[in-house]
Amino acid sequence: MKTETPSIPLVRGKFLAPLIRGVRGVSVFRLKKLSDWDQVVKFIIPKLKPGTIIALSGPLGAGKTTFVQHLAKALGVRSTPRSPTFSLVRSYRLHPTSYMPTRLLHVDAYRIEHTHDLTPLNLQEELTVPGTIMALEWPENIKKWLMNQPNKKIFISIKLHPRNFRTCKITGDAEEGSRSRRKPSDG
Amino acid sequence: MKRFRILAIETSCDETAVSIVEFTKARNFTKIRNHTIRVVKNLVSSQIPIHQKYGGVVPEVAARSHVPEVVSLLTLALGKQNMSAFDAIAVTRGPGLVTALRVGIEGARVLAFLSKKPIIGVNHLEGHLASAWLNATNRKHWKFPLLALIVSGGHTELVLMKNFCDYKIIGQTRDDAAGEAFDKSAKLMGLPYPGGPQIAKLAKNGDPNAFDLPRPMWKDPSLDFSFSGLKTAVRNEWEKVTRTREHENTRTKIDFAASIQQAIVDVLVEKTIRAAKQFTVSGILLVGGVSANEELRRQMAEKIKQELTGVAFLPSDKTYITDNAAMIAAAGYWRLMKGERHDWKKMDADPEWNV
Repeated sequence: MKTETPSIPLVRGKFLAPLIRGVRGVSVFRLKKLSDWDQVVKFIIPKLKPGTIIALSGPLGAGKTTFVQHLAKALGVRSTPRSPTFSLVRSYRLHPTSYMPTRLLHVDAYRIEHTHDLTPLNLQEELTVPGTIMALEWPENIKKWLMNQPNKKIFISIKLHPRNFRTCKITGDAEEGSRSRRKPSDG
Repeated sequence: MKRFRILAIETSCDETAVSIVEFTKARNFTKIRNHTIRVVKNLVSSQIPIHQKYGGVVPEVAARSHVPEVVSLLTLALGKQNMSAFDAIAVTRGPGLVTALRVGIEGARVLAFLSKKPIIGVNHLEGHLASAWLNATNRKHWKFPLLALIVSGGHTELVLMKNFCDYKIIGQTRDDAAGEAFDKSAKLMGLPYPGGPQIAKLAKNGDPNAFDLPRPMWKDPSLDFSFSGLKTAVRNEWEKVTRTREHENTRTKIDFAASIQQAIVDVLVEKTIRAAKQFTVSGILLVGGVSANEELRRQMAEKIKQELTGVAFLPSDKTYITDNAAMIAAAGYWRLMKGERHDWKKMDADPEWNV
């Protein structure tokens, strides 16, 4: 699978219907090629508000960073986000639009094994910076910390299938505006 | 000729390092051949034994162990001479982990305040570039413009050096670093941390063409790299191998490791050669942790000999490949010679700093 980000900008409106959208608050996308990520991004963006945490789980090579690259592009980040595994946190300024959010934090918990290792990263404080949204890779490593955050969360779980085809399950706060009281499962 | 000693502190990631390097000041800075360098002390306290347990660098652990280490290393380096052991201080300001960087910076600031000697904050990547300069033969062939390939766990960058302190990044990774590609591929194969040396060790007698892995960004005209697609390909291939239970076979493992290594090395060498042709450089630097890889060194040297006549190959010494403070001293020297100084009162870490 090629990793170059496609140069086609997102067009407002029309997006292909996700594969399954029956269950409330759960949407599943089927991804065959790189540009399919744009559909997922398009689906996610209206659900974002300042403080939202997007938890991305999936095995090594599933496409978590690729998703963040597409998201960043759609949100107007000029540079291409690189893997934050080494530096743990990277921050991007979003192109100023008429509405929030204004800052994207890309966090990778791949190398973090204990919640207390997070303390020096000051994630809580970073999240309170106005207009910040956070994309978190390997949330299962810091599950306890994540569950304690009052922020809105969207869970994206990517599964790899044979012949380079993926499914991407999105769980979390169901429809825009409505507050789901149901605790989101670690999708 | 005057002797000039720089005390350098480096704590950007998992290594705590302190070094004292003596430079014999030449009257004319541009006449590089006149410089003599003597590394008086080069102390590195590798924290790998602690990190192995966690399978990575954990900032809290890193920062916590930097504190006692930096003090004991400084005591060792300065010895009885104390403040008279150095004439200036160089310290890594970024990029790296903020918490870890701050330990070194605070130490350097205190020393600068007490000794009233000049202090300079150095970019870690510039330090890597300077690591090649520590080698006397490299200095002899040092002629700008130069091209540098920095490859490590967190970086994969092609840097065009027009002069000292005048750089331009002409290519870099779009996702994972080369060292990360090694480490994560090793993890997928079930090898222990750090994965790079493990793969190199296994690959020694393997067949690099046994498995068909992609060469990402090969056809792309830019000088950028990408290794995340390779990671996915490694995963798919390895799953095929596991399904047939072939993964218990040592031969298969060796061949697989060799194929991974070759895929990464191929791309690194090819893009470097392309860049060298495009910018007509007179030398190529190979620096950073991954440059310890024997195959990368060998194939790079071979390709340069074949395709670029008259271009010098300048890899850094094995001693200065991984993070160390001697290279920070050398980069600090470049900056100090240009007249740059920092104010210790205002200095702070810069975790996202680019050269």
